[in-house]
Amino acid sequence: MLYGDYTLPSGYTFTSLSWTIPGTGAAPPTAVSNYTYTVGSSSSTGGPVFLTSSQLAAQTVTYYFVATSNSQAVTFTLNYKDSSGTAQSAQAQATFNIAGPTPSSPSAPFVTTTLGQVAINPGSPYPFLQFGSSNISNIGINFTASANQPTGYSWIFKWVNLISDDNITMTDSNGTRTSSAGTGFDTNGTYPSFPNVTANTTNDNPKLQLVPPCTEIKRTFDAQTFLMWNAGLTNPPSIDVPLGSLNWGFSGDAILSSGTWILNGTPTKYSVGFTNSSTYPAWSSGHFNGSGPACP
Amino acid sequence: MKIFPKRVLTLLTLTALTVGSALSTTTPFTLTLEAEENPVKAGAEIKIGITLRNSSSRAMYMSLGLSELDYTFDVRNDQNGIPAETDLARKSKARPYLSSDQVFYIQPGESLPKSSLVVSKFYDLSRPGKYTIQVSRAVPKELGGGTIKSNTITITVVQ
Repeated sequence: MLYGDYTLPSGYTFTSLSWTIPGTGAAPPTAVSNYTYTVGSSSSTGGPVFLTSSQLAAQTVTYYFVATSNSQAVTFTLNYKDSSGTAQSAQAQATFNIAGPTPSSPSAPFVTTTLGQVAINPGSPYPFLQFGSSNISNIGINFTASANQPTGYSWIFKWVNLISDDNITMTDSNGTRTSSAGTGFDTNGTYPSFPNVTANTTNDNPKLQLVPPCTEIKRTFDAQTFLMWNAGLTNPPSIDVPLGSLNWGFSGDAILSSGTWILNGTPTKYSVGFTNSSTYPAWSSGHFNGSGPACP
Repeated sequence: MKIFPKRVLTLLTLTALTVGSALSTTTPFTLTLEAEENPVKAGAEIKIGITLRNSSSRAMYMSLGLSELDYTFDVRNDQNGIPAETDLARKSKARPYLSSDQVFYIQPGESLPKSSLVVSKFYDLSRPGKYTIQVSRAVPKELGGGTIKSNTITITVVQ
């Protein structure tokens, strides 16, 4: 929070003031007003809140730098008229060094992944079509973050997963129907999408029950996972800042054969390398885990 | 008179064996249930928290996903009856569950992140009274199989 303090001499009149904050006009912006999110029972929204011109024209401005950098000069400009009515301006500057995680080597991504297998796993009362499993022997996608961390912060990583596509095609004696299981913020009911398994790892093993009377169930799933970092400051509290993202997904087809679910054909899976970036995740809907579409 | 001490000794031996057996039988994990709010006003959401703790002497892999898939719930009213299911619960039965699961490696004494579940989504608990809730979770085969139950909590719904 910055406050521009000034005192005009007698006979001088205030005209306007403004803040020039580096990064507000960058793509993506590296200075934002906030990062907010909501996770309701059936809706979710989230994303960065950018600084507005009115915020940049107020005496107090609250904002967040979201990228590590040094010597960021913020300028406060005061416009006024002197006692003869001539427009004048005065400036004051403050320079900031923004601490944060940096890649472990200059071109290294913040996150690496390993992929498992799409499988049919046992479950009660029904088995699952799953990318991975509930066991270490087959993790669907494992995320490992690594970075040089600044000292003096109780930092944490967070994982935000945005699902761009989750189509489920179900076949029974009534025919075949494809439904979307939803797109947007991936959640079991809370933020972030995935809890940390360790300080710098998490994993995901999306699963879908194979239910009667369906005899075939296919799933195509594509997602973008963001690594977020929070400095852990409390007064005022830090917001999550993005370190980058990667795209990944899988598909699989399960058929009921002689009373047993088996994989039909060869499942697919992919993960595209992580891109370090200050682009925030933004979403206007949620992918709520729970009950999915019914058989036709 | 001479037989009596032998019976006492037998009884003591059996008791000792029983105690010894109970002490050496450790469950791989414990489940602790807690109400997020209690008492609860009629019609309000009833939410519970579940903590799975590794109570064994070795590290184990456990998954954390959708609570309604990971756990089985036993909900009773004060007449020991099962409350009516909600529309959502009835509709859910005809639909497959989908879930995002994370696999954790938890050391002895460590716990999974707390899971939560809105029980009132699945059972009609809107009538004032006392409701008991207990959850159970299947033990993976590699940890011995079977089922482990949580403590039972009583939630009071008030007008």
